[in-house]
Amino acid sequence: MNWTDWITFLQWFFLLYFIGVNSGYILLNLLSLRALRTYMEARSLDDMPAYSGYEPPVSIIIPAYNEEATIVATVRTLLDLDYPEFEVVVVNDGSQDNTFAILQREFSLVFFPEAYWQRIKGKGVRAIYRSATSPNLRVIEKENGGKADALNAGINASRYPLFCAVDADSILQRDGLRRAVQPFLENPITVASGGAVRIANDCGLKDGFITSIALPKSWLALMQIVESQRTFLFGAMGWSALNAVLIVSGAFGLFRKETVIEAGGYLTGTSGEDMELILRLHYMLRVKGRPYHITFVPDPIFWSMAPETSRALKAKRLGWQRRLAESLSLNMPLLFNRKGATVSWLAFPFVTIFEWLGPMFEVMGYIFMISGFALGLISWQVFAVFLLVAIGFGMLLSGIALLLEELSFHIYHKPTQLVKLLIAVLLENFGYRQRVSLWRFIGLMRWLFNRTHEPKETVEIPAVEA
Amino acid sequence: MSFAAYFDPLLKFMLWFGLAIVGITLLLLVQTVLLRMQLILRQRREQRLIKQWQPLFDQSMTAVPQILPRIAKSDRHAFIRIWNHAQESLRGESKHKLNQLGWACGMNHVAHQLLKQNNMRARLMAVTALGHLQEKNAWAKLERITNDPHPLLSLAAARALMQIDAREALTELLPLFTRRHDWPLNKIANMVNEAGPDAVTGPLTQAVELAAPEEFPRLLRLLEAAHSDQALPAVRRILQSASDDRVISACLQALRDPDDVELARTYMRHPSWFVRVQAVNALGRIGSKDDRDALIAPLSDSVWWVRYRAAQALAGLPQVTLDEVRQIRASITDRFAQDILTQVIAEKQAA
Repeated sequence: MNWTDWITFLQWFFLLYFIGVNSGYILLNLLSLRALRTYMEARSLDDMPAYSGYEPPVSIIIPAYNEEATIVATVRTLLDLDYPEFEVVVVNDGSQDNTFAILQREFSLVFFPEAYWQRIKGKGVRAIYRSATSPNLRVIEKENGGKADALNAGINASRYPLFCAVDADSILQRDGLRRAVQPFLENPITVASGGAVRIANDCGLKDGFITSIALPKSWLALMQIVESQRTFLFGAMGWSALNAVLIVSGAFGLFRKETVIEAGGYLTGTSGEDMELILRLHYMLRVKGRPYHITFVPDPIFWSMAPETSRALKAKRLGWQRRLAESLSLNMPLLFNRKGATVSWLAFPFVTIFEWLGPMFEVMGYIFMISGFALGLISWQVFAVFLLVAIGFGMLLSGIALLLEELSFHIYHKPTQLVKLLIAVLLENFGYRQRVSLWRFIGLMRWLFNRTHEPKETVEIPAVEA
Repeated sequence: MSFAAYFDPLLKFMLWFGLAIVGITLLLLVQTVLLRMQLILRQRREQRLIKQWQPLFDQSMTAVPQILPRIAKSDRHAFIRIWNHAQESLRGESKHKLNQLGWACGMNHVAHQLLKQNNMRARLMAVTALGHLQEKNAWAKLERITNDPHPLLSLAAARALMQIDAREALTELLPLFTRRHDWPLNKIANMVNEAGPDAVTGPLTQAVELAAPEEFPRLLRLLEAAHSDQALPAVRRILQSASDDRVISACLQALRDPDDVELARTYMRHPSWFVRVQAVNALGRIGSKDDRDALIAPLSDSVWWVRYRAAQALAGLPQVTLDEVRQIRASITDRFAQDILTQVIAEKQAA
């Protein structure tokens, strides 16, 4: 092949790649449309009293490291959740600030001689405290070992069959836990459930709960709503229909405790412990041939503040790409595993090609097309078609996600909010999407060439049976 | 020369493909706006109906109004939803009074009409309304729907049958309760609870006695949901001959009578830890001071839960004081047993 053949090959490769990635997401959204229909039918009976009750008790675990600014508000909010029976276990992971002192003062913590059962090995637990004012609150004081280690300590200390891992800065919906528990009630083989983060910027907040839903004034945060609907929310719903959810957010995830302990708990030394655990659960349960389900709940369950500056967003996306790369690379035996079904043959390859390596192809595609056009190597016709397809598909995908939101939860009630979202769907593809791809590409390169967060310890993964 | 003439055939195809994508996107956005307008209209209609009917619902608690507004065809779905919601929030006699209003305004006809639709939400609402109305004429239809593969619809039909005639319904539904694992147990338990112990205890007890080991725990939990202790003789009989761990465990959970304490003691050294936990729990519930010594051995069990429940049972035995528990802690040498007793003593003090 001479160089003109190479250029022709590459221009078609990138064009077809953009069609492939967007078609994949569109298919996922169509799958989620079907799943959403069933889900919303079930939800239509939810507000009737006879269709609720008998929820199992849940242990809510909050790993806290230097969280003196937010921890009290978070704990107060959690203690006020609309759920029949639960306990809150705060794990103070050797904080350097006054996290523990503030907790002790605000919740009247007293030392409690608990027979700590270390089912998952980890850093030493120094002491366990109980609140004299809130009987369902306990605080574990331990040596610093990272978020995964703190979560493992929380699991060890938890009392109930389900545990919910929550970030110290998450804003939970008052009925969020009730919603997340539903899959466990409706399908006894459920081992985990999670939801997508909703963006809380400029929403009304009272006593730690969202009281009024608004769109962010910042366009950068607004773009993240569109992005989140497109990729995390309805994409995940599609994977859930195939029992191939690979990501349950670390900010809120509900798990069957015994299954997580059987898998060895959270993997310490990695920054993507949330996704890594899900992949390992899939692997363990598929290899053992045990029926199970990991479910995505599309309801608004928890909220978080989205970055409003490019710098903060860049840091978030760099981190996200690193976590993804770490989790996938640690669980490569799951890829094309003959027992892995949809997870191994569909979701894992999809995420590998379009999420893990995708930013590389996207950035290279744009660079190749723009530079090729500027240097006269690529005709304006090819360049125009590339832009039309890349941007047009992006808009279609975001448009479908917005339509799905409108068909289901339509959480943004005001007509002006809908108009703003419609504009964002169109504008998101002019600059924002490309910029995020670039940051994720940088994250991928940094992970590849500068692995500063190599896992220090590993959890034994069960061997594949012959 | 046209714009498209600048493109070779394959590229031309891609151009039209791209333009089609943009066109579809714009249509989708228009559809989104139309959906929003539809939603606004639907919400307004529902508000109007609530405003019109809520005073009539309130009035029907004393006497059904003589003149009732006609329900427009377009309002049927919204109306049945509002009525169902009102019904679900009521208890006892008030439910019957609202039913009288339902019959007076032809709710049964509305429900039968909606049941014919393909719209799943409309069918769910119709089935729920027929149950509240205790519409006997819908029995055959509802019975058919209990076999529908859609779990929510079939479950709603099962509940409706239970509301119409719980005893009669149970003869049809008991096999489904054990067979249909897509029916969440908590939802079945809710409807059993709703029907009350008088209606469900007999058929459920009979079913428990005849149940296969894999069906037994599910049925026993339903019996517990009905707050019935009439199953105890059956539970005792089954426990004496049971060999399946699940059955033994479920039976031990159901023991409530101090006369059964000997039966519970038999399982204190069972090889399965979850049977041992239930045996210890049972002793805690129905045991006496005489069981004090029997509960000391499990304080050193290899499983944390058995130790914990044994310590709780010990500290909760009648006439066993905290001081006595402290003495027991001082007298034993096993560190695990000491630790778990320390924890339970602290819990008791904090309570």
